[in-house]
Amino acid sequence: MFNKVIIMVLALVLSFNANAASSSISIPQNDWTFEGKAGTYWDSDQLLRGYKVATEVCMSCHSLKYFNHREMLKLGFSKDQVKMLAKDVELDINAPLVSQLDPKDAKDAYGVVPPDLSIITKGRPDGVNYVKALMLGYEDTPEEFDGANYNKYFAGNNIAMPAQLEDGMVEYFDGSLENKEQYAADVAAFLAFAADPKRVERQSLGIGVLFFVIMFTVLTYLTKRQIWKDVK
Amino acid sequence: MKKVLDWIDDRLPVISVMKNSTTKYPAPKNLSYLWNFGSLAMMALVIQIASGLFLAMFYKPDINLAFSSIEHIMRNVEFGWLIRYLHSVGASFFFIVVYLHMARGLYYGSYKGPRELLWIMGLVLFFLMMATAFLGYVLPWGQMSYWGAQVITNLLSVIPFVGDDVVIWLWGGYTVGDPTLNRFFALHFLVPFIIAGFVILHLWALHVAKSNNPTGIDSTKKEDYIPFHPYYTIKDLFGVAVYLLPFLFMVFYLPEYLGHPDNYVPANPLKTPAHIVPEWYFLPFYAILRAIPVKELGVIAMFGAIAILFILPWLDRSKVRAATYRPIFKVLVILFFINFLFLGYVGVKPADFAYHIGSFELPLVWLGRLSVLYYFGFFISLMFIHKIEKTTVPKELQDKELKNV
Repeated sequence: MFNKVIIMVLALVLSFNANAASSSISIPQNDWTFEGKAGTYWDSDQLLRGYKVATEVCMSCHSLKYFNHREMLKLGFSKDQVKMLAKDVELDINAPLVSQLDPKDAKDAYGVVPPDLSIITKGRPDGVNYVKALMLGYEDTPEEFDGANYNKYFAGNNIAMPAQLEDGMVEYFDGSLENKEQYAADVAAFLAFAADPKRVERQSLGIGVLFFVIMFTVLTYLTKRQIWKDVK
Repeated sequence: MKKVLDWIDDRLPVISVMKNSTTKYPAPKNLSYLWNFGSLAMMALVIQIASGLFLAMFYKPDINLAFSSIEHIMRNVEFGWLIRYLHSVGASFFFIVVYLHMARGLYYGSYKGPRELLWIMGLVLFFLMMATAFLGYVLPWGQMSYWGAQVITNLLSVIPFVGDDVVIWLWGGYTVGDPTLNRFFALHFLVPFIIAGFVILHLWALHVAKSNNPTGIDSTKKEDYIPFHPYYTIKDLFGVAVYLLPFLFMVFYLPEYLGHPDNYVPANPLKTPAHIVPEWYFLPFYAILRAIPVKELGVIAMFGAIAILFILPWLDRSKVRAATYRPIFKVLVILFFINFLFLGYVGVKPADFAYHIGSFELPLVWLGRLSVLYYFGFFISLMFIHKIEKTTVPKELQDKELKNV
């Protein structure tokens, strides 16, 4: 109940913020399990799929250097399972997650160093929706367009990164659709997790804290009334 | 026990000082909840110093490590995210409280005699606080940190003859760089303790002049006063509880709401952000800076906007303090508050923003200029309005303090 009130206030404030920040092309909004009206938990299946997309596709060029595999334990995986996961995508769980592609080679090939992805959803307005939109925002290059790749959600539309996602390119084991839309949603969710792994834990701790403060408020108010009752 | 305490108090009167400023300190009994913001500001300061101390144990003031050390705090330090969010959200709430505290002082004429120095000590606190906030915002070494530091430090280049040298001296190099970050960290750690010192002066001046009150009339009657403790200690404590609710709500549920996404992008001297905006609490002053097309004059106007507050006690010639009994001042001061908020709105919009009404284009900067005119015009008007203003202090209040009304 208390939880719901918080989420409602949250949704209200956030919708206000989203309106205030609207730019030329609006980013499609999605429901996530960890934000918005119902958002209070990590969907471990989705994050596992996102982990696969991020490590198999994104990490060919991007690093995820602040992400620590330890965070995966929070999703209910055991240590051994996490080790298996990492081994599957040829990663060392004790080393920072850097790309196989050397930043210098990347710069030579694309003109820019691909940004680190570990806090990308915090580093862009409406980050998690933006990442999903960006992955799907590639369109046929308009005739007058002079640049590398055309993406309708990228500021200025000229993005160095070519379209990455193709249907069927990443294998899922939970029966989820293996198409671009699903990959984009999953990887965005995973990157939101990577950017703010304490999010759910923070929100659940907050309920207890706010409950305590409300009790404290009531008690101090009653004490104040008691002490002040003779002051005219 | 009593003997020991007396022995100490005879040699170092800490106990009687404490008593004089709590149980014996007489406070007007009619203070409204607007008088809570002073003690709240003090609590906000304590939260900032305490959380900042722990952040300083993990933060690294080095351009190659600063950004990563913040992520380290957020991810690997036990409850590091909590400490950091308390600190970053706490800064915003500190400003909210201080702005309300100042607005109350303005509305009720708390700056007038005999409280001129109390007001000025408060302004020194405000100025130091802005400096500290600016220094602190540079430390995460994100894009906004870097470019904000670039823009603000460059303002000092308008100082005649030595301006450019002063900026280089401040940077410790030819651009904002590692030496800058190092010294900003040192200063960001130091200034809060200077603030704490000025808080003592501020309180000292308060305890000499005593609190103003919603009537703006210092009663000479004893029965209008109650001891600070327990009446105001409990009232202030209740205020703290009410303050903690929205504050902790933001910390746990919207910690990034008042921040800027660009500051989660590492500083890049080669890439200017699309819009460089300061933190929200600087926006009105930023709008004043940008409203004037000549850089030198803009800087003068911005600093002047704060400086003029220092001479406010002598600009305002009316003998009546509270806006409650000053019909013209009341309208002007409320407009001043609205105007200040509007300046904040102008500050957050891009410099070339314009409204389009049909084919007519109205650049926001023109409204901003009108706003700046009102900001200064308000203070100037205080030199004259007392001549035409019919104050409405009730007779029975006038008798309480004849010398001031």
